[in-house]
Amino acid sequence: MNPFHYTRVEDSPAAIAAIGQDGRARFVAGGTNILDLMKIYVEEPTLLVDINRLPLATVEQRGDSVHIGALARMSDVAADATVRRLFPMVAQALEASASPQLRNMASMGGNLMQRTRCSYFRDTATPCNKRAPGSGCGALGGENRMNAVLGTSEHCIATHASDVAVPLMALDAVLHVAGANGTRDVPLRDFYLLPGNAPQIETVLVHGELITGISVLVVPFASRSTYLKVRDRAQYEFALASAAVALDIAGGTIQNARIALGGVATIPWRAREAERMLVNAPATRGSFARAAEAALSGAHGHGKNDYKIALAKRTLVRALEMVATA
Amino acid sequence: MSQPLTGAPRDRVDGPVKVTGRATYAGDNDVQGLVHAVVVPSEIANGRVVSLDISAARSAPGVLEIMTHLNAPRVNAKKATANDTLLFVLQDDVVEFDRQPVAVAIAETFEQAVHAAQLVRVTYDSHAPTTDMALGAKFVPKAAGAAPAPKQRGTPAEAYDVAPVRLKQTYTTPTEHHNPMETHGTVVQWRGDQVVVHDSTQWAFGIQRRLAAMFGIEPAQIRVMAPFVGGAFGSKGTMWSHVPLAVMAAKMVKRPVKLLVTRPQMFGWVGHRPQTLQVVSLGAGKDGRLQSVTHEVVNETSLSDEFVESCA
Repeated sequence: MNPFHYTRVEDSPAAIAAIGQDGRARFVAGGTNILDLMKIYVEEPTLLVDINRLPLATVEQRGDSVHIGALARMSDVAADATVRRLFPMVAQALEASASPQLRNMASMGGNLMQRTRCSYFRDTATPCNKRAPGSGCGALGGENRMNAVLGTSEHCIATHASDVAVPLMALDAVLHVAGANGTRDVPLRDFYLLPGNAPQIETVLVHGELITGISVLVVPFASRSTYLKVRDRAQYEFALASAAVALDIAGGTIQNARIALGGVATIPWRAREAERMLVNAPATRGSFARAAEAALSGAHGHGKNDYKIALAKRTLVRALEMVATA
Repeated sequence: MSQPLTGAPRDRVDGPVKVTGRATYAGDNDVQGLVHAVVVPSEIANGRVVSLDISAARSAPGVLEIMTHLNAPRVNAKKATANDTLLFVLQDDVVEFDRQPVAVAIAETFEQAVHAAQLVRVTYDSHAPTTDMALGAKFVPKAAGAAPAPKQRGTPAEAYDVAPVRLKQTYTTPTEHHNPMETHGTVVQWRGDQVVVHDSTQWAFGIQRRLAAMFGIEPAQIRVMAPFVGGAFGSKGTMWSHVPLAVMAAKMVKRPVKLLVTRPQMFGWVGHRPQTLQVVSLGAGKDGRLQSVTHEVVNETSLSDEFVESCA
């Protein structure tokens, strides 16, 4: 860890002002990701602006939306009765994340901003276009068992690591963002950027902007939803493949569906074509299998992660069956 | 005979001090004047160190010395057994394995030593390592382990060929790294020509003997202390590179030195259980009586220090 300065602020304007002066300054909330990255010299900030005292930690229903403050801890959101009732897949994704200790510290805004766990990104002895643009991608021809099969480019195949971003993507969550020039709302579907030629640019946020909250419109059928995470061990591990699924079923026929995939894509991956195929289809394994084929139709393996294409399909089919039979 | 020897609960002799935090592990020995050493591990697995830029590290706050193969104390490279090439680190520019120590930063505090270690810039002449067991050259080892199983009895191949019931299965186990709660670590204090070594080890007398050979002194001049070990999974039954490195560092700066192996470094020079491929062939009669048993093992090994995993 390099020497750095630290300052603590009390409100959003002060946070934005503090970070805006220094292009290498970073916000810190729970610190569960940035401190790790500092210890391995992947992040070398000059200044950490501690935002933990900002009044942004509430979770509450506001009209037809649920508002989640950016500083709400993962564990608090997972335990929130409204979230559990309206969006079971959000609570399940949170509870499937990291460890209880990390969930007690990590903030929701920080969760959405977390960096990939691609081992080449985290090892400064290896090339990585996300960490050191232009240095190449070590994962493409290397140890890519954990890497992405969807949304990749010839410059980056790193997966997005968040669990909770997957159901939030399925739910069309909206992020509230504050910056030096005021506030703006960014739909989550527009928030993450595919790696393309510039994998180091991961979101539409510009330096100095701060996520202040997340709004989720209440989708009535999302009370019938699940998050299924497949991983190498039962706890404290990232997804090899995951699926967030909500289904609206009447008389054995699917009226509406929300589907997003995690662990297999460079960003939390909404599967809209699969959703469309399920509408008016019978809630059967055959329908689910066809939807899974559609969800992975654009997938490309890179050798050691080829298995993820089949795994993601099976994960999605099983998640759909779980919700349909619940 | 008041109590049975088995089945009854027994208190561990060291249980109370361990669970109440009073056990003194190697790294807990904060002797007077202690300084801290942190290893710089190699970023390649096969090749040579071409250059070392230690200027930034040397001038970082609190730094006493950056020990490299260019300035490290020499040791007697007299091999006592097969498995010790890796002990003779910082004696030349050759890199033979991943995370091999290529430098040691010595500073007043642990944090300063960690920071200085990161500032050491190393350039390498790198060659492709052989890390895939399927691609490596297979060979029969010179010695099948320290206590090899009987190699062969009878004529198993012939008996297998004619057995009415035959079963042949291949099993694999992956490379497994030992990660006990207490990482490896050593505190070294020279007192004139005597040296006290606090080490996290299950092999105190072996360490005494090996250090005596390496440093050309009598075993009686070396006292190895290891009253508690915080887990090992067998990985503390030999001496690893950081122990002589700590002794060398303490010689170099003329201060007591603490060298703790960090958690990421536990995948480096402190050994591991090798990947294995095992083929078991059983031949039996219709009555279920075994007529032939064959257990063949292929395991990965360092090419410099041959190691046989005695699992057959």
